[in-house]
Amino acid sequence: MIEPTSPVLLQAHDVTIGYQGRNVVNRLSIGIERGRFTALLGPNGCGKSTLLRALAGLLAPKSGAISLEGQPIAQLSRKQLARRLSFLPQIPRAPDDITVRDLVEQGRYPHRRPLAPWSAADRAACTEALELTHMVALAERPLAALSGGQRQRAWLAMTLAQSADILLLDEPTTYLDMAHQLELLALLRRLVDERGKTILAVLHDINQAGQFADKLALLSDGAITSIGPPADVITTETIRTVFHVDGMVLVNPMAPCPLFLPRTALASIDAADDDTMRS
Amino acid sequence: MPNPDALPPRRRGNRRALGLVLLIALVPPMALWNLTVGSSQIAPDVWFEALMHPDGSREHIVLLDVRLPRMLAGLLVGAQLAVAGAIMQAVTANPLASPGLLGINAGAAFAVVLALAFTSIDASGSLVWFAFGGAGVAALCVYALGSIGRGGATPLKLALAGAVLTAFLTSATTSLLLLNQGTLDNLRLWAAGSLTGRSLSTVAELAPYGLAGLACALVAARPIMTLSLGGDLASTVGQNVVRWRLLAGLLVVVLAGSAVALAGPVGFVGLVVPHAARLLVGADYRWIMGYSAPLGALLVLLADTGIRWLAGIDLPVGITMALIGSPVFIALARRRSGMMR
Repeated sequence: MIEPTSPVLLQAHDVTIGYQGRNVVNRLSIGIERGRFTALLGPNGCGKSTLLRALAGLLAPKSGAISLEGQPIAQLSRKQLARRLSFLPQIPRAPDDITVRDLVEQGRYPHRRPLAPWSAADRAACTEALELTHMVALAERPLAALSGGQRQRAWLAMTLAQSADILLLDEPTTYLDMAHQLELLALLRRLVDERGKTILAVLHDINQAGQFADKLALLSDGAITSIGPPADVITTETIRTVFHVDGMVLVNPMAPCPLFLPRTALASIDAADDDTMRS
Repeated sequence: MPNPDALPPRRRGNRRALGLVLLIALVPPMALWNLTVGSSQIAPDVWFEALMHPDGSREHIVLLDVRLPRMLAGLLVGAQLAVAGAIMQAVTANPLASPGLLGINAGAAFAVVLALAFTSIDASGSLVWFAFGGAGVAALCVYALGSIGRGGATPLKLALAGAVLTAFLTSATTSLLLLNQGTLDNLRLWAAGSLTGRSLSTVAELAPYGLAGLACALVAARPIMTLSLGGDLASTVGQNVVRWRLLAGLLVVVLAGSAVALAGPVGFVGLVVPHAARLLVGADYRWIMGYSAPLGALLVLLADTGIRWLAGIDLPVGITMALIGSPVFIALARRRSGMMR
């Protein structure tokens, strides 16, 4: 694999993020390295989505700073930011009757000037996004006529059409069956390896994350508990602390990263569950 | 119905453009029909005479001073309210949003009547600013009322807030009209939404606001389409959502406010027309707005002419529109009740 560290592209420095008096993320710092696939994992309600929204500039931190190549993102306009960074929310919504192509074309918004016609670059970016996500044949279908997995791919195509270097994806595998999950993760891997994209994705399956991502970051109660290459992060100790799950770490016969085999949930899961009742 | 989305993009675009041209081509015959139907039927050829060589005959005076401004008012009001409704439905992601239902028309009407009752202002060019003010304040009130409580401004809460404000403002307007019977007698027809009694100079004074509003809507169609994706997604693709929502709101205030100043609070145009346009072109608000302008003009002229032609009575267009619009509104509310919550 490539060198162990790469320059930090997107950085959160000592950020506290929250909604109305309640802090979800506490004085957290994380650096997202350029050209790497970083997976963000953690139990429900630990602040993953909140952190991602803040990194995408949709939620201003109460304190601390988020910067893109050293420049605070608060100083960038939405358009400037959108050219560099794209974000796919967990449950994106759009009018049901919008077609896949119309949706994907919306991804070109930050690249278009007022009244300027649709350019060759716009067309090329949309075509490529549709091809990468295997959505060409479905491009003229309305979103409502698609299965959950196809819809998720349509959203990803819109995100890709934005041609940003950084992709922030909130649970992109959620609605997909196993085959489509693997296909999507392989696509993300390819985007990193072949296009030099930088990806931060919230994932649920730690073994999938270990197989496809360069780095794992575990988030628990709004703080990073562990970050590093999969082999360093996937240990019985870290998983017990973060997920309250007991199990074993095995040697993965198919990949160079360890494999976690869960045995049982620990008693303290109730406490963790209470935490998710918020919102 | 054949699914327009099943066509390849080039052909779909062509079909939409052809449909738009057809709709626009229907407007002049409809306008001519509106001009000929009335208490005295006037043949179309007299029309050309009146326009080219007005001779001061009774027929020519009726045509130029009564029917021409009425037709032009219908054209403008229809297009303006329909486009205002389309913008509101895009921005609020609310199928029931329209200047009539969300209290904006009622706010503009109330402000105009207030100005007429308590000030000496009576020039349309000044009254229209009261209409803008009333429309703007009403829009802010409905948004603030609808945003109280959990979940922010949901479609249902906005519609309820709009209904409450409309009821309140309409009765306030009626009270003012009743209390100032003498001076405001001729306003009662206007307050029901009517195209009659407008002079050509009134139309000429108010038309620039409406036409400017329509032109701006055309220019802003693309960002408005992006707004229709919802705040989160629009921000993600790089839109300054706060700025564009404000601008869209301003556009609605100008379009609906000047329409009300011209013809009173005509309801249902802004609700029904964007839905009809959506049935024809799908979810793309650029096309919905484009289709809404000629469709709105056609609908208002049809309502105004049709009732005279069918029943031989001259009903205010606001009432005819309510007769047409109420059943459509009920159908929409029933069909969409699933997504109202």
